[in-house]
Amino acid sequence: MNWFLIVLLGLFGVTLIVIAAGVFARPLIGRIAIREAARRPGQTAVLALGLMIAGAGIFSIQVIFDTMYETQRIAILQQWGRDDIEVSGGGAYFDAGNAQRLTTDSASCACIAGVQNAVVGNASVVDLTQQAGRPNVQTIGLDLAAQQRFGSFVLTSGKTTLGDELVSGGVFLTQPLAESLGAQAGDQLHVLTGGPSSHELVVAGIVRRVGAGAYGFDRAIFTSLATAQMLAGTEGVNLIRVSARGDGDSEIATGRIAAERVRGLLGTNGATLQVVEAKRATLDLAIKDSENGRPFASSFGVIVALAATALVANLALMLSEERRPRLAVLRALGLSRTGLIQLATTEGAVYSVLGALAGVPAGLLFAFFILEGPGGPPSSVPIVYSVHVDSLVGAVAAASLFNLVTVFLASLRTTGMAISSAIRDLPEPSINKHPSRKRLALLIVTALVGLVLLATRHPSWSLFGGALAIAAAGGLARGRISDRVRYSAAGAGAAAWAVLDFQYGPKDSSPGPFAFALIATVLALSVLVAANLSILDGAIGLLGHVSGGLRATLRPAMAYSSRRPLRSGLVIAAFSIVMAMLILAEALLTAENNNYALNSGGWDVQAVVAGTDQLSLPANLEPKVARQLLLPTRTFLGPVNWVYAATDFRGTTGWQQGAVTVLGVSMAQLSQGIGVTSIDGDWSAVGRSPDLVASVEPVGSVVHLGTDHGTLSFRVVAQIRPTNGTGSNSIIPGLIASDTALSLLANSAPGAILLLAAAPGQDAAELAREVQQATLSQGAQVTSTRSLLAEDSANSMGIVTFIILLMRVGLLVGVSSLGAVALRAVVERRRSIGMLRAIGYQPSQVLAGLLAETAAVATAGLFVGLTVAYALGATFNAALAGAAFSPDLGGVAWTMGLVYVAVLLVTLVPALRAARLRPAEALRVMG
Amino acid sequence: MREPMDGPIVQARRLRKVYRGAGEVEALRGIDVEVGRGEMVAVVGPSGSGKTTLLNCLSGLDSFDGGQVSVDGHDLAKLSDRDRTAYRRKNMGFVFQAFNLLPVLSAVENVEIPLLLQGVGSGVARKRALEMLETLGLAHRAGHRPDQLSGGEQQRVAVARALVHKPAVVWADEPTGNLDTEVTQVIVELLVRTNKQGQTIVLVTHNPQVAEKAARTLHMRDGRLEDHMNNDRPALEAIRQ
Repeated sequence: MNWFLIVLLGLFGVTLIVIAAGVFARPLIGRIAIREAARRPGQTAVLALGLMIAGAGIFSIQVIFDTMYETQRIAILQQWGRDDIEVSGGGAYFDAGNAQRLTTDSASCACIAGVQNAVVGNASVVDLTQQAGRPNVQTIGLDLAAQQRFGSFVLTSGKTTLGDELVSGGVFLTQPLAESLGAQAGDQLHVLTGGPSSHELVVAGIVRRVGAGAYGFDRAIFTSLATAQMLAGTEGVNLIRVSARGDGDSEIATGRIAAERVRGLLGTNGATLQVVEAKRATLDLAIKDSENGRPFASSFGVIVALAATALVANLALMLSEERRPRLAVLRALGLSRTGLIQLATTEGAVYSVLGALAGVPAGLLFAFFILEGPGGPPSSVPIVYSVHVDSLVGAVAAASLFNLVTVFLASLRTTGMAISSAIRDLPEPSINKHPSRKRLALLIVTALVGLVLLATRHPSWSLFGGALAIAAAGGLARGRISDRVRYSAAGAGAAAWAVLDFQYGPKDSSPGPFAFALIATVLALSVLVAANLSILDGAIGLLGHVSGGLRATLRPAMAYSSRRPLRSGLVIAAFSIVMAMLILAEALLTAENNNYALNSGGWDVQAVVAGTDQLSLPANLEPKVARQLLLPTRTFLGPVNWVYAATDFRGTTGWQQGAVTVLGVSMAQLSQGIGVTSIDGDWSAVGRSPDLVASVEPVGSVVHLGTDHGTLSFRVVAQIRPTNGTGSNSIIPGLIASDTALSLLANSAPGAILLLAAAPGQDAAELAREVQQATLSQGAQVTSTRSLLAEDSANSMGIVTFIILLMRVGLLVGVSSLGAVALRAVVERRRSIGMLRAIGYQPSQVLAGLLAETAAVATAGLFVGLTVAYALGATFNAALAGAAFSPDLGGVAWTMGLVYVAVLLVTLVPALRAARLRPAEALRVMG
Repeated sequence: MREPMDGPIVQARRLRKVYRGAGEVEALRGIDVEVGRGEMVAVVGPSGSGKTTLLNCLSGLDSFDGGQVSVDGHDLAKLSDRDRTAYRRKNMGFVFQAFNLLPVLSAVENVEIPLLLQGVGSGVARKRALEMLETLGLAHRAGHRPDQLSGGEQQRVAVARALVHKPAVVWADEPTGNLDTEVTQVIVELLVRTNKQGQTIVLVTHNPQVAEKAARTLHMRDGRLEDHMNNDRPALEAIRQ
């Protein structure tokens, strides 16, 4: 349980205790609150629905993250199996006798259960039988004598084996590799490892990605240690796998002790060896990634919750308006204003807890819908549903508090009343618009807090602080200038500040600045628009020249929108925040999909080979190629530690057993350019020093590689744009370094990437097929960059699709809020409707008025959403996709059309109800 | 006080109204009543006697279960809801106890609603609404919204709204119920002045001082009209009792 959760639960508990204590001290308030909640079940249901959506919005994100993490954790445990510690030579081979020393020692150590020598490498594999090849296949040679502790292989035939079939030189193919090659047992394989010669081996079986066969990359071959040593041309090994005693969590815990033991032992016998707690490190990274991503995704859940909060606030305002005479009677009888606030908060607590609890099943359902749909993990990974108790109680507490604060703030506004007017349900007399001393002090403190936050220059807090200071300044101007001017100036000022600071202010890679910019801009523009809705009155005035009847119909409706700016503003904010996010997410998707020219770097075909750094184009294909670029690569397999730039919220990965590919670029190629441009940093610096690289990671990030000659570090000096939402570049899949940097990785597996630009008139896909045919014997994999990027885009679509789905739910909240507001409006304005009907309004005019009113507010919300999306879109897209903001206007129009239809549908029922009111009945109702 | 002209403008025969809920309540039990053109009639009686129901049925705000109501020769029972609404729009004005001004509209905007409903152009409507407010001494408050007006001012705006389109009949349901004595006096004087200019007014009231200003007082009890009294001193004493 983290500190945030402890504080959250503490606050929730204290709040409930305070409310309960208040009820205990004044049972009357509790009784009235319960009676009010129970008096109108329909009304309670509408309120609980709004609160439920807030709960579901927050909880669903937690369920998704818990499930994603659990799914990943199971996959990691499966992948590493009994392998807890890995000892590697940092790419170099070392004496196989080290394992023997560990095995001997394990007899005296209760922490080590098994030790296994291994040779791992990177190769190109050609299936001679199927005439298909794949590069970057991991070769895993295992000492089968020690296989017992590390588990059995499960073949696709169903047979379970400890690998006896490998002893005579056979190989197992992982199922994904076999599927990509179309390979079957008995096929002849040609394996190119970069060793002294290539070798032909026979497929002894296809292994499922379970048990021992889950180890390593998806595309891997398993051999005996002897076969792998033969392929590599060595008698040594480059990896020792160590299994700690125990099972599950106890095995991981014992692994820590075992790792210390192994380090101690090998420290005296093999100073160059790297010991990594591989399984624990991978799990730790998964937890870290999950925790890093959770706030980002949660912020979208909070956006939905904010939209729902606007609905709740509106309903709270309407309810208190309707109850005003009853509340005034209580005030007249001696209940203080604090008592009224207590009453509202107690009732709100009932709704909040009910809504938050109802949000649990709704959130589960929504998470299920997302995870099983296009926003979920790849279908190859079985989803393991999981909900942590922390997430459950945290979401319930957060949603309840969120709602309770909303109800409390609304009650502060609604409990101030002139008792005599309120009892007779007469309009509230004008109040003195000059702020009281208490209010003045509060505003000054708020402004100061804003200025202090602004001075921190923290990307998120300074943005928030600036907006806060402007809002406080707006409050201080009360009574000195007209409300309309005051709201307009504060709204315009805060919106401009948020947009400009987001674009030009301090930046980091966390979602904070974006979330603050989005929320601040939406709220500020909503205030601006709500304060100026009276323009609609002007438009209605113009209509009056055409039709007085139409003007009469629309006048009250527009007046209700324009002269109650708080209520309209809340609905506008609810609509606009989700509309803006929806447009931004869809634009991101469009940018990912339609950015071929930028993503491909001008290259049409990519050929990748492993085991050799030579890959040449046959002479007969030269005329079909306009340009070509050969980049030799080295793939390091061993301990890797990424330390991200200070501005990057990810921090560090810690030492992981992993793979890093480095591409060597000559000075000539650097000066000519390789098609890939940097989005940040100094590209040319890569040539100055072998330890400077370009990467998709932010400038300033450093990757450390634990090599046989010590730690080798590469610093990112230029950032290239990723080609997908997961932050990698599939055209240049590695670090771009100078060709001299490759010499530092002489012990790592060689490879090459050949990029081709088709000659004019040549079809890229056809060229890729021809190059594939010609380079098959070298084990190259040749792909058109278009299909590569399309696959890339499909793989990275999950998060964007997830955001889009979430925002559509948010729009649904906006639409529901209009429906709920319309429903309440009928109750609240019953007598006004009765009066209008009495003096001659036809039912159709009442109907049209209500529909026009909701349509006007929805339009304002959509307009603000669109404006915010355009205001923030350029910076947002540049940061996430490195592309211009170019939303799909057809899609936007379609969404807006659907919103209008939905708004009209949800408003129609209450509007019809209003139209059918009989004037005498409506006028009879008091309050 | 203006004397009735040329026969009744409102005429009800054997008017019955029954409220159906948990049980049946006969609110009007065969009422026969006539209101002369240009007459000012007050309906008085204890709470629950059926005063407001009578006003609602006569003005076409509510339907009735038996009998006949005709206003200016139009049989309300034969009019559809749409036609009845259109008839109210043109020929009737209403003043309510709770003023019932639209809170989001200014005084002048509230007053011009009936004119706009009749299709009067916005310029003309605004001019006439302002003139009406000026007549009632509220020109300086035309741009104020109800929450910026006193109770008396709000009710004067409501009266202006009821009169602005020169209706055949103004119906006033407890128009002074929410006002203090001084303001009540102002409103009553206003209604009397309007009546003197030929406006037919039917008002429901509990207040004998208001009732005594009417030419005629109808006393209701238990859904029946007990007596019709001209406003001479003995009759008013009877109301007070």
